[in-house]
Amino acid sequence: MDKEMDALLDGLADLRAKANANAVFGNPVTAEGRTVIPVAKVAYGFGMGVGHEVMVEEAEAEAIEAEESQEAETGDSGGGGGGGMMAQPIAVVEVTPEGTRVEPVIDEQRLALAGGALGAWVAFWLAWALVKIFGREA
Amino acid sequence: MSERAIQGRHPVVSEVVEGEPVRVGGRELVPLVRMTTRMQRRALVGTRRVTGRGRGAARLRPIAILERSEEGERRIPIRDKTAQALGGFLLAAFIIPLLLAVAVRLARKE
Repeated sequence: MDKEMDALLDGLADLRAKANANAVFGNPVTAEGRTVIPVAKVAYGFGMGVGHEVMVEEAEAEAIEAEESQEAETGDSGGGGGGGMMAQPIAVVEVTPEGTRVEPVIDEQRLALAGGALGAWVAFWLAWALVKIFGREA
Repeated sequence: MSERAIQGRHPVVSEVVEGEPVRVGGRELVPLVRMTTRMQRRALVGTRRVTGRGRGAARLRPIAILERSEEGERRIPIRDKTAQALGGFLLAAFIIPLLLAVAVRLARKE
């Protein structure tokens, strides 16, 4: 149990250590006199819980409350946790001898899906409006 | 049996931080990042049981790059064009039905 908890805590500590401002810049890549640095927006999340049950007799429980005794028989324990990370590229920084510029990266697939959903939504409301306007007259 | 609960809930903290500079061809590029974090933890201490839980989240969004060179310092903004386009779609999804509803009402009045 201790080993598993240590491994979990190490993983969460590693995740937490990476959640800093340097995570948004990727490694620079240089080719043909130009250097390109990818830029992304990053999100992290983590959570964990542990529980430990102390098995003591009633009399010892009262003694512990009264005397704060350390003698107790340990019971069951458990714990768990998890974490995740998401990175989405949003731009590329291009460094040339002439200067530095930022080139945006557009997620065309996401825009196409959103555009399709918007088109269906607008078509629905347009049909509703036409029915309301011309349907009564008919 | 007595138990005592200890809990801490940190509000959402948002701040702009500078990342490590990247030196490229005589220029120094410093990323400016908006970091938004939130932490929450709770512990229950008693004579029969001890439990604890915690969770946290962090969101890092680049907002600009500071370019430092011999010519001086320049701030180059970084904009998420995809998010801007999606925001425009969402706005249109609210406005278009409103406009159509107004058009229907005006047509009924006539």
